[in-house]
Amino acid sequence: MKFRKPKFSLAAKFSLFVPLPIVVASLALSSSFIKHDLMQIKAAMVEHGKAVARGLSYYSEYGLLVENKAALCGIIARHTNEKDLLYIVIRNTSEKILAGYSAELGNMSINTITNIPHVPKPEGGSECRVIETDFLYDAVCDVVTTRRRRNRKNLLQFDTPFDSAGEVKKIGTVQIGLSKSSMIVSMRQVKRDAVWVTVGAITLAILVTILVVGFMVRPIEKLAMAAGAVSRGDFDHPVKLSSRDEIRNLAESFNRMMANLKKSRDENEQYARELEIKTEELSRSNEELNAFVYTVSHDLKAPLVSLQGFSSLLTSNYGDCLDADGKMYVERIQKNTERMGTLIEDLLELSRVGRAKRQDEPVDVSEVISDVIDELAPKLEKQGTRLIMKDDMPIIYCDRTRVNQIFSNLISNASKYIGEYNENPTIEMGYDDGDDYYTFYVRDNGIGIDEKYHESVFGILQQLNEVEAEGTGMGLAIVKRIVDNFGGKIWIDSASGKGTTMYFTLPKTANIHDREEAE
Amino acid sequence: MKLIDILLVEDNPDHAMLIKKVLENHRVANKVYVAENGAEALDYMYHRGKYGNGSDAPRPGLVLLDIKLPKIDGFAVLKQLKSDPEHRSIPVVMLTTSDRDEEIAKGYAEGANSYVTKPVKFDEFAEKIKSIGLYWGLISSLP
Repeated sequence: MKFRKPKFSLAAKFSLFVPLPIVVASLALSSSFIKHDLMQIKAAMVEHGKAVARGLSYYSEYGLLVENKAALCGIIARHTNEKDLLYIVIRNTSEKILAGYSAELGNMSINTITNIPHVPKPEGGSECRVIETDFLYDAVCDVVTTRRRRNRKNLLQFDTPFDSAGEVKKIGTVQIGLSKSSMIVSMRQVKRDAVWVTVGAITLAILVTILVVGFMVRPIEKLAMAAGAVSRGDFDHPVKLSSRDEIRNLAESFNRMMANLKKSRDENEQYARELEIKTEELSRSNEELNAFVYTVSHDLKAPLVSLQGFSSLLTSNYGDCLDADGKMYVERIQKNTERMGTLIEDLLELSRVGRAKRQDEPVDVSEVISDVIDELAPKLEKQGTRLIMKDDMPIIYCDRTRVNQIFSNLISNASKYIGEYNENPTIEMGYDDGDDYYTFYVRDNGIGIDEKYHESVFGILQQLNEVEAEGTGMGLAIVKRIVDNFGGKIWIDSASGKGTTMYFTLPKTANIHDREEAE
Repeated sequence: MKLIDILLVEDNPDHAMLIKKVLENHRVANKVYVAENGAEALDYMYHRGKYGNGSDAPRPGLVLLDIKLPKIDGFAVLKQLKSDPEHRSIPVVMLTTSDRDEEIAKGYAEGANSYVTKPVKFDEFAEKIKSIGLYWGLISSLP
């Protein structure tokens, strides 16, 4: 497995999401700060406008009362250096301008004050009000005078002051204009400052996050690399981390795990090697055993041929010279040599099964069984055994001779142990179709085999003592060898007196049709 | 029918005796000559060594050849006979104790005409030897 670069790395996620609240917070903070500051600036402007207008109106009372333009001009002149001042206009109640000033035009004679730029039309109403236009703040303040009535009754009473409540009368208005330009400049300054501070804060937050995340993520990446290496079977590079946090603990656990894995892998490899050696030894000794069995049986056969031959010649050529006992003895010799011959043949067969090359071909199992039954027919008919074969026996891809041997041995065994007093001797042959295996069976209702013999029946030279039966007892050993060689299994299901079923499986190594096509 | 002479190449004296007996009993052969090993068999065929003068070694009508032989084995003898134009026409029947397919196949490949396994049952063996002798005797006596 190759170590793949993650599409959304941890570092990216952290770097993206950790500064996000900081960004949002600083944006919100700066916007509220800007808003608040702007409001304050504006409020200060309004207050400034009102204060100047009120001051002017206070000083203008006399000038208006007597309509003394020079006095009014003097008052205006004292205010012309007010910050941001655009204009001052003083009117009487009939809206006639008595004095005026414009920052653009300077002090003006009454005659020239007809058109001061930016001066909005004053509105009536409250005592002092401020309106805001795009360029300026315009403040208008009424100029009032208080006419106090004297108490006629107490005219002579000097100690009696004026009535506390006097008549308030509007005698004119003072209108001033304050330019917004410097305010706008300072507002811009505020905004700019706020933006710079915000941007700085955000940048700092992101940089710090990236840095911190880098420190945190690098060990994780190291761990991931190490895990990747382990998955490729590299156990020789433990993770080394300088940090002293949870990830370090994790890395240490990881290193221990890796060491354990390495140990068990080495052990496994050792076991595998040993197993390989043992298997090799086993198969070599098996081969040796086969060769030994072959040689021994072969060498045993030659003297047996002689024994048989001479005893046969003895009977045929000198039979007349022997009495009944003598003839019987020779006969016993012949019978025993014959039996020994069969034993040797079976041993040879057993070794041959281990050595012979498979010759696979499509084999119709029902055909094989029919052949076997034909061969065994005389004996089976004599026994009166009923034979039942499942109808649709399969066609398998296997070695015909060996399949024949299997069924021949199993059926003749079944017949051998069918029982002398069996009233309805029956042998059944059939199969079950599995996914990868055919499971064949040969079932009889004979004397059965006690469970304690179930393992040993497949051994060499195992014949059950309970029945005096012909044969060498090597049949099942041969069958087991064949089935084992073909990668199948063989087992027995039986109990004393309950009949016997021999099961064996043959793998469906490949579909017959596939094989035929392949050839 | 004119009886043929048979050369039996067999190292086991018992088997040689039995086979000779069978052949004589059933009057299959005129005379059976026995060679105990491959070298002796070739000496017989080429009139060498103790068969030097050639008079005790008539040309056989059939060779019964055991495969496992000391000195020179059956296959070598078979190969020699079948590669010699003079002896190629003499039928050779292999005698084996086993029926190992590879041995039999090898024998046929070297030019053997037939083979007989030695079964444990003597009667069976006798029957086989008899029929082999009669068959090849008949074949070789044909003009």
